[in-house]
Amino acid sequence: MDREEARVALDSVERMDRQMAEQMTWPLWRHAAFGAIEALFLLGWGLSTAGMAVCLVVALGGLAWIVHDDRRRYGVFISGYSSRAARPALFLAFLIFLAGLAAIVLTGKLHVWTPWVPVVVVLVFVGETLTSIWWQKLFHADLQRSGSLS
Amino acid sequence: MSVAIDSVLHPPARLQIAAVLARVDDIEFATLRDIIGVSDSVLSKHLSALSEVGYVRLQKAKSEGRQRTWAAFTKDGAIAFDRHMTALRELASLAAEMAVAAE
Repeated sequence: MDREEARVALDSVERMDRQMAEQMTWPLWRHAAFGAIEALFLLGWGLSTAGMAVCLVVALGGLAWIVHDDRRRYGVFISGYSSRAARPALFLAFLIFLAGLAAIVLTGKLHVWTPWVPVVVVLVFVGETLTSIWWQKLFHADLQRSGSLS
Repeated sequence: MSVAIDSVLHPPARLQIAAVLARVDDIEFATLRDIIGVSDSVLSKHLSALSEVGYVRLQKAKSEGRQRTWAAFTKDGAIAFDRHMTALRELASLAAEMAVAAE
């Protein structure tokens, strides 16, 4: 392989990445679905043990549904962890969840319903939804940037 | 050059397949075909070649009454692609350096 061939090969990878950036865009409801599942995981900590079990089952079912729906609708599955460049958003999502958990503990007690539980859950839902949108932005930016590395 | 070009990933269509697989967890055959822009038979041939060397894992699954094939990089495939890209970049940047030196 000569240098010109290497350049052409890198250009073709760049083209693929740009095409992926155009096609791999998820609608707002999909980001909100992620936020809702994370919020549901958190909600369980503000309910009784039985309530938590229900939240856990529904949230895990929701996760499985998202994976299934992504595969059916887009013919592809990209987990949050698969893009190295987008991992800061994944860590932020985890931190938001932990902050929500800490807020529930600080404003009451685990497995005890207080008026603060729905407030925290809604805030976590919004935060996780925005984080999912940020993940997509980082993912796209990485795809757009990859060609420039060549 | 510190890293060698991978002869399995050298054909343009295979490199494009690898570029897509490097970005996803797994992808369905028809979606991959549409992104790459090749025929079913060409994609099938290249995926088989990548699968034979252990770079790609192919899985058949029934969905909505149809048998579908899903492709994903193996760990070896992902490593080979990273190395191949490094080699391509080194080769291309060497060309750029030589062009600057010639000026």
